[in-house]
Order: sequence, then C-alpha cells, then structure tokens
Amino acid sequence: MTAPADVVAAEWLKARSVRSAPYTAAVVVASVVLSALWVWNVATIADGRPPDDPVTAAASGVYLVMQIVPLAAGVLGVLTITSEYATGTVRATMAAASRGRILGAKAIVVAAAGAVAAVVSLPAASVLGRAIMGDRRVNGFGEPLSELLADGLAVVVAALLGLGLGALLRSTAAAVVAVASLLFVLPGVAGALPGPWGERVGAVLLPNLPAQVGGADDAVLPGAVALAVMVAYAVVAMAAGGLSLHRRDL
Amino acid sequence: MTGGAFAAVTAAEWLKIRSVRSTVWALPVLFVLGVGLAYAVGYSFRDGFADMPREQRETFDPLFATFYGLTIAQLAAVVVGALAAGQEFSTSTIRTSFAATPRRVVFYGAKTLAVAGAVLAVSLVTVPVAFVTAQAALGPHGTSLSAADARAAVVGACLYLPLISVFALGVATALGSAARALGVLLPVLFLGSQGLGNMPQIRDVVQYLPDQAGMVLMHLDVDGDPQFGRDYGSWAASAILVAWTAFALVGGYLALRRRDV
Repeated sequence: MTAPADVVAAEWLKARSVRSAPYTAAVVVASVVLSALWVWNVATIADGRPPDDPVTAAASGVYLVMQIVPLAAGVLGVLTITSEYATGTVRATMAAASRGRILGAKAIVVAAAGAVAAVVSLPAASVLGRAIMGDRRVNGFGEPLSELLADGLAVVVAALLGLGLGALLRSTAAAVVAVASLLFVLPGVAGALPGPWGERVGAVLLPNLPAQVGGADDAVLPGAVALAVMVAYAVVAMAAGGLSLHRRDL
Repeated sequence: MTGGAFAAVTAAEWLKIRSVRSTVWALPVLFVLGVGLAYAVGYSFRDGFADMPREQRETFDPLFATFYGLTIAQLAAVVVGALAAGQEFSTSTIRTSFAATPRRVVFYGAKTLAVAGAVLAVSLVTVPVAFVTAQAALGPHGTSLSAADARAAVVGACLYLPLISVFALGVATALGSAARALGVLLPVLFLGSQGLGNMPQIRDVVQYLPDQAGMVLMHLDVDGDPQFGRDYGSWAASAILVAWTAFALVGGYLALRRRDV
C-alpha cells in the first residue's frame, strides 16, 4: 500500500506539471488587474456625482476577483480528475492506491491550490481597491475582514466542488458546464425570479454566501448558517463524487 | 464530391447531434431557459413596476425584459456548438470521422451546417414563444410585433443563437477540446453580459465582443446611454457577429487541416 504522503506528492506532481496550472495562475493575476480597473470605473462614476447623492455600487474591491477566481479554481478541480478519465491515466492512478485515498489526496491538492489562489488574489485586490477608491464615499464599497475570509473559503469550496462534480460526471465538458451553471447561470436565474423567491433562492447560491457570512445589510441567512451552506457545497459534491468513484467501473 | 455525398455527410453529423446525450439535453434546455426566464423576468418587472423610480419607469424597455433571459439561455447554444466539435477529439471518434470523410473541409462544413441548422430550428421555436410569453407576463407594460424594434429584436435573436453556437464550434475545433473552449467562452460571455461591457475604461474594446453584438441585435442595449449604450446599431452588430463567427470557423479549419489525430 502506498503511503498517504506519497499519494499526495504524486497528485501534487500531476497538478503542477499539466498545462492547466500556468493558465490558472495567469487567470488569477489577471483577475486582480481587472478588479482594480473595475474599482477605478466605480471611482470615476463617484467623482461625477454630487456629495449628497453618493454612488451605490455592489462592487467591493474583490468583486471581479470573486467573479473569476472561483471559476478558475472550479475548473482546476474538475480537470484534476476528468483529465485522467480523458487520457486513461485514471486506471494507472487507481491501481496505485485505494480510490478513497486517491480522491482524498486530490482534494488536499486542489484545496491547497485554491487557498493559494485566494491568498494571492484577494488581499492584493482588496488593498488595491481601497487605495484606488481613496476617501470617496460609495455605498456598499469595501468588505469586512470576515467577508474577505469567507471569500477565500468560497474559492477553496469552488475547487472542491469542481473535483466532486468531476468525479461524479467524469466528463470535463459536463463538469465545467455544471460548475459554471452553479457560479454564473443560477445567480442570473435567481435574480430573474419574481418576488421573495428570487431572494430566497439567491441566498443559498455559492456566489452570494460570502457577503452573508460577513453580515451584509441585505443578508437573508445568519452568518453561521451561510457558512454551513458554503461548506455543504463542498461536502455534498465530494461525497457524491466519492460514492460514484467507489461504485463505478473505471 | 457531389452534392449527394455532402448531404450524406451532413446527415451523419445530424445523426451525431440527435443521438448524443449532451446535445439532446442541451437543446431543450435552451427552450426551457429561454421561455421560462422570459416569463420570470417579465413577471418580476410587472410585479415591481410601481416601485421602480419614475426615471426607470419612463425609460422602461419591454424588449430588455423579453430577451434578457436569452443571454443566460445562450449558454445551451454555446455548449451544443462546443460539444459537437470537442467531443470528437475527447472520444477519438474524430479518427473514424476522418477515415469516413478524408476531406476534412467537407467534414467540418457538414458539422457546421448540422449544428447551425439544429440550433436555428430550436431558436425559431424558442424566440417567438419567449416573446409571446414575456408579453403575457408583462401585461400592460409589454410590446407587440407591430413595433419595428420588436420585430428587429425577434429576428436578431433567431440569428444570434445559431451564430454564437457556430462560433463556439469554431473555437472548440481550434482548441481541439470542448472543455478548453467552454473554460474560455463561458466566463467571457457571462462576464461581458454581466457588466464588463459597461466599464468605460474597456468598453471601447469590449463592446465588440460577440455576446455584446448579440445584445445589440436583441435590443438589450440602451440607446444613447454612455454606459449601457453601444457605438453601433443592429446592422453593424450582425456584421460584427458574422465576422467573429467566420474568424472562429477559419481558425478552427486551419487547426483542423493540420492536426494529427
């Protein structure tokens, strides 16, 4: 039996040597630049407004980072497992150690990659955003530290969500579509639902959870509940993926 | 190659589309999302109309409520195009396809035609039904086909969906993978629609992305608005969209012509 540390090391070697790794890193850096542009845009609008009528912008300094980095982390999570199915290396991998141990090792690697992406992008974008905004008054700008931490957790959750859905669906395209639907499409759909239903459905969607953990004014869920829902995304996806991996033929 | 042979290759490509699980699912999703969101958006505008600021009530555009849902439903059209091309590479059926159709341009042309036809057929049903549904949901705030811009938007939407699908097909062929194509296209298309196209610093460039041209075609932009307006009209939008699609198709062909499979 291969030692757990060796399994993690093997998964880490795969993750950093495939082509998607530098692409993901580039996307993370680009997201910080775009985020700064976005804040600059809001600041420009704020300058053109009278002081007694400040701009209301749903844009914190990390707004665009949180549009981009969770998706990148999710796609990385997906590829970690589905590229093995596409190339057939999955048979060699699963012969090396038990399936549960392999999936666990992959989870550690993608969670760590997600955490690194979050640590690189979020504080930088937040500080940069505050610097650009200066002392302009913009309603809704800036995020409390608790929200920033929750943003970081959301990136890790997205990475594990991708891994779990990848293990469940075993097709890169299907899993990428599923992740993109959860992160981009469903919030759009929820926003279009009439009356209280849009709010209720929107409250439990992953992109809307960090602000509620941070105790935003328009939060529907208490912070602790929002945190639990966020963790549940990763747990449910990983459990479903793990079960599927355990039961099905390769 | 005779016309009959091309028809046979197209029939083969059509058979793939209608028998592969992912495309069989994605096309009905286009209809359900397009029509369902048309109703939901229309209803929420009608429901909240009285609470909207006066300025917004006066400039309210029923076409925005009608076709906003299609900016989300277009995901299905993009997925169909990307999968139709990309799955050939990931499943290696591309080898069989090339053995059966050694002239790659014929294979590629037939696939493009089959995808465009399938998505056009679904759009010709989805768009009119979505239009009628949205007007029913909007009630007194709706519009009708007697308005010229409503007719233009309906025609534009029917053309946009097949074109964006073929665009995705070209990108997936160029990249040799549906996943890579979707990884690039989904964020670009959605971030564009969700506000990147409205940022003054990059608007001058970003407004010419394919989804932005589609929003102009469907009359989702705001005429003359410095932020939500666009510097071009419907005809230019059609040309921009066709240019993007042609660009992606040519890129796909150049990659396909040389690719070792």
